[in-house]
Amino acid sequence: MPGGAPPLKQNGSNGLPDDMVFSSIDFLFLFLPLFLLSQAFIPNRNLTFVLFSLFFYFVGEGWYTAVVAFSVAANYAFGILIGDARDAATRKRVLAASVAVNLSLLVFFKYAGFLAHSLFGAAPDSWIMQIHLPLGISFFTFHAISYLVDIYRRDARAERSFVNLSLYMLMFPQLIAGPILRFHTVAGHLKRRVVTARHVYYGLTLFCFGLGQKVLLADTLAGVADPLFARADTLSQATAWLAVVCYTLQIFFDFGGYSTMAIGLGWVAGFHFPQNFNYPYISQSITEFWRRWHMSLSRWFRDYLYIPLGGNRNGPLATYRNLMIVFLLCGLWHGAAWTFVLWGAYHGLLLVVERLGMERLLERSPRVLRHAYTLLAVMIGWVFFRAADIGQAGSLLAKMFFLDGTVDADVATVMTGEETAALVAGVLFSMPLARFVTRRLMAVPAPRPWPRGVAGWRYAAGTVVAAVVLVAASLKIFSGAYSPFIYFRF
Amino acid sequence: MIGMTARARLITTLVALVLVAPVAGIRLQDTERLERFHTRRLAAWPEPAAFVDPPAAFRAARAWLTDRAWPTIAATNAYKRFLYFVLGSPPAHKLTIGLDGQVFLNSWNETEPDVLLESLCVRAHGADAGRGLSRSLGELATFSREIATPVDVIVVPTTATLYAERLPPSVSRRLREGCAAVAAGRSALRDVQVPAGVRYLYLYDALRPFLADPAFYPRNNWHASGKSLAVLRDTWLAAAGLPAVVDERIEAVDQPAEMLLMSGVADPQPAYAVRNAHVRFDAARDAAFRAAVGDLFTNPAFPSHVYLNDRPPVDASLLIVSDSFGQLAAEVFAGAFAEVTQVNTNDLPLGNAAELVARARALHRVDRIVLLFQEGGVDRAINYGRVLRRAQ
Repeated sequence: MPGGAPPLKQNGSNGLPDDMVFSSIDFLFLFLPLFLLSQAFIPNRNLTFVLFSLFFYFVGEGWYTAVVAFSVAANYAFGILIGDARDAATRKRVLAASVAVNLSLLVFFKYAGFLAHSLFGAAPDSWIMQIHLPLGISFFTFHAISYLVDIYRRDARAERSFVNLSLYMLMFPQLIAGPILRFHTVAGHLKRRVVTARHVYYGLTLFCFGLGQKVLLADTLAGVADPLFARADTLSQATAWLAVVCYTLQIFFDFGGYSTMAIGLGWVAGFHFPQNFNYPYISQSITEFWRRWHMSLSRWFRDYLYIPLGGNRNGPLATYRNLMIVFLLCGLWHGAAWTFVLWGAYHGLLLVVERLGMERLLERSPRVLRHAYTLLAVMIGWVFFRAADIGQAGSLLAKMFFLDGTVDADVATVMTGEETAALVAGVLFSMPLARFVTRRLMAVPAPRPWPRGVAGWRYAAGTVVAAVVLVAASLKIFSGAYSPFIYFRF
Repeated sequence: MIGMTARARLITTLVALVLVAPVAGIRLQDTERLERFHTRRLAAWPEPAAFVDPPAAFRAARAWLTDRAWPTIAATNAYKRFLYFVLGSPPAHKLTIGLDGQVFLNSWNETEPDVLLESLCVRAHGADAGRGLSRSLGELATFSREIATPVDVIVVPTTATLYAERLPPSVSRRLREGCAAVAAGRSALRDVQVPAGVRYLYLYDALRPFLADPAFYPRNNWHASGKSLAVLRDTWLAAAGLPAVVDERIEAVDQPAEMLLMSGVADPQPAYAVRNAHVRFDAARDAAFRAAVGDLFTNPAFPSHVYLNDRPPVDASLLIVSDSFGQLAAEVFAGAFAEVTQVNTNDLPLGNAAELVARARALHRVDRIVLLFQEGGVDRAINYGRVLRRAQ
C-alpha cells in the first residue's frame, strides 16, 4: 500500500529553503521591516498588503503564483455571480460549479498523483506524479470556498473590490499555513480598520512569542524527534516514547507558533484573526481536543461540511457517518498519503466511540484518567501523522507498547541539555500556566474589549520579554539552525 | 476608513528600523573575516538571468543575505557558547557530546549527522577497506622500488575508536558497536596483507595504553597532538629500523579544545606540548614548495609546512603526504629528521598526486615518503597506490 507523509520541500543546494518563512533572516530582517514601514506610510494599505503578499508567494513558488492568481480572479467572478443571482436555484448552481472548480484545482495539484498511484499504479517518474504542489493550496482553496458559501448563505456580500478579495485570499501571514479565515469574520476589516499603538504592541509581542515557540522549542525538539523517527526500527521502548512525546510537542509549537506569528502580524495590520490553538493538550476527551486544536480548520469543517451533511440532526447513525466523512477528509486534507487517511479515520473513530457512550464514562472518571486517555490517544495519532509510511508507524507503535528486549538507551543520554530544556519548557508552555503569566504580567493576550487602565509596567514587561525572546530566537537563526514549518506541506 | 494612529506609526517605524539593522549592517562586515568564519567562499548575488527561475534566484539571494547579515559571527558565537557552557549541549550538529563530556566529531558538515562516524566506525574497518589497502600496498611497493625511495603508510586512529566506550546512546547502536569492535581488536585494518617493499602501520595498539591520561590524545580534539604524536613517531621509527632518540621536552599545558574552538567556544583542556629547540619552520623553503606545487591544488590556501632540524638523529629528508592529521605531526616528526616537508592533500585532485610527489622530489632531496591519514581517510591510502603506481 503506498503511503507516507509527502516529503518536505527539498531545500536548495545551499541548504536554504525555497520559500520565505517567518523564521528566516530574509523575512525577519528585510521583508518584515519593509512591510511594517509600508503599512505605516503608504496610504493604499490594502493594495500594498496584496503586493507584499504576492511577492512573498512569488519568492518561493515563482510562476506557480499564476495558480493562486487564477483562483482569486475566478472566485471574484464567482462571488459576484452568486451575489447577483436572482433566484435560489441559480445561486445554488453557480455555487456548485464554483466549488467544483476550486476542488478540481485542489484535486489536480494535490491528489492527482496520489490517486493515480493508488488506483492505477502510476510510476513515480510519470508526469502525473511529478505535478508540483503549489504552496498553501489547501488553505487558499478553503478560503475561497468559505467566501463563496458565505455569499450564498447571505452571511456576507460579494466583494466588489478586487483588491479586497485578493487581500482576503492572499494575505501573506495566513496564506500558506492558516489560520483559515472565514470571509464574514474579516469582511468588515477589509473596508474599515484603524491600527492603534495597542494593536501594534499586541501584534508584535505575539509575533515574538510565536517565533520563540517555533525556533526555540519546536526546532529544538525536532532535533530529538527527527533522528529517532528515522531509525524507528532500532529504538528501545523508552526512546520510542521519547520520539513521540517530542514530536507531540514539536508539532504543537511548530504549528501553534506559526499561527501565533500570523495572528500577531494580522493585528499589526489591523486584522483580528481568530485564535487557532487553545492549549489542546489539556483536553479531557478527543471531542474537546478538536475544539482546541487547529480551531479554524475544525470550524471550517463544521460550518461547510459537517452541518451541510446534516450534522447531528438526523439521528445517531447519520451523525457517526458524518463524523467519519469529515475526519477522513480532514486527514486527506493534511496530505495525499495513506498515513494521513489513517490518522483522520482514527480520530473520526475515537469521536464516534466517545459519542457511543465513552464520553459519559469519561465524565465519571477521575480527571487525571481523562487527561491520560486523551494524551495517549492523541500521541498514538501523531505516530501515524509523522511516520514516513504505515510500516514505520506500525514499527514505532510496536516499540512503544511491546517490549522486544531492546534496551538501547538511557533516555536522558539521547538528549542534549538544550533539548532537555526545550522539553521541560515545552511541557510547561503547553499548559495554561503560560497564559496566566502573560495575561497577568504582560497584558498578552489582551481580553476584548481592550481593558482601560492597564498599568504601563505590564506593557513594559511584555515588551522586555518579547525582546528577549526575539533576540534568543535571532541568535539561533543566525547560527544557522533552520527547519521548515511542518504545516507548509499542507 | 483604513488608517493608523500617529503613535502606532511611530512604534511601527521604530521596530522596523531595529529589525532592519542586520541587513543595514552588512556593510560593516569584513568579507575576508566572514569567509574564514564560514570556511568557504561567500554566496554570490544571482545574475539577472537567474531570475528566469525565481525560486532558485531568490534562494541564491537569500544565501547572499544569510552569509552576510550582521552580526553573524558574534551572534553565532554567543549562541554556541550559551549552548555549551549553560546548557551543556554540543555547539554544532556535527559535534556529539559523549559520556564524561567527551566531544566527538560526527560529520564534516551540519546537514549530514554521523556520516563521519559511519566512516570511522564501520566503513574504514570493513573487509573491502582491508582488501583495497592490501592491493594498494602492493602498488606502493612497486612505486617505492621504481623511485628507489622507501614509502611507508601510517593510519592514525581517531577518538571515535580510541574512546569508543564514550560514544553516547544518541549515536546509533550500529555505529557504537562498530567502534567498540575496533577497540576490541576487530578491524580489517589490522589484518592487512603487507607485501615486501613497503611498510604499513595502523597505530591503534601503540596509543591505547596511554589513554587513561586525558592529556595524551586530548579528548576534545579531532587531531592527534603532543605526546600522542611523539608516541606515533617513535613507534614508526622503531618499526622502520630507525631507533632515534629525539632531544625534546614534553610539557603539560592547557589548550583550547580543538573541536569546540571550531565553533567559537574556547574551553581549555589538559594537553602536552612537544618542544624541540633544534626544529624550526623554514618559511622560505615552504614558500618555494608552495610555488612549485600550488597549481595542482583546487584551493590555493592548501596547508603545507617545511621544518628543518639542526641536530637530527636521522640525517634524512622526509616527505609527508597527508590529510590534516599531518599538519601537527610534521613538527613532531621533524624532531627525528634533518628536513620534513608536509603537505595536506585534502584539496588535491587524486589525479595530481603523482605529479605532486614528482615535483617535491625534483625540488628537494626526498629520502623517505610517508603517507599519513586518519583511519576514516583510509580510502585515500587505497587510491594513492593506484595513481602513484600508474604514473611511473
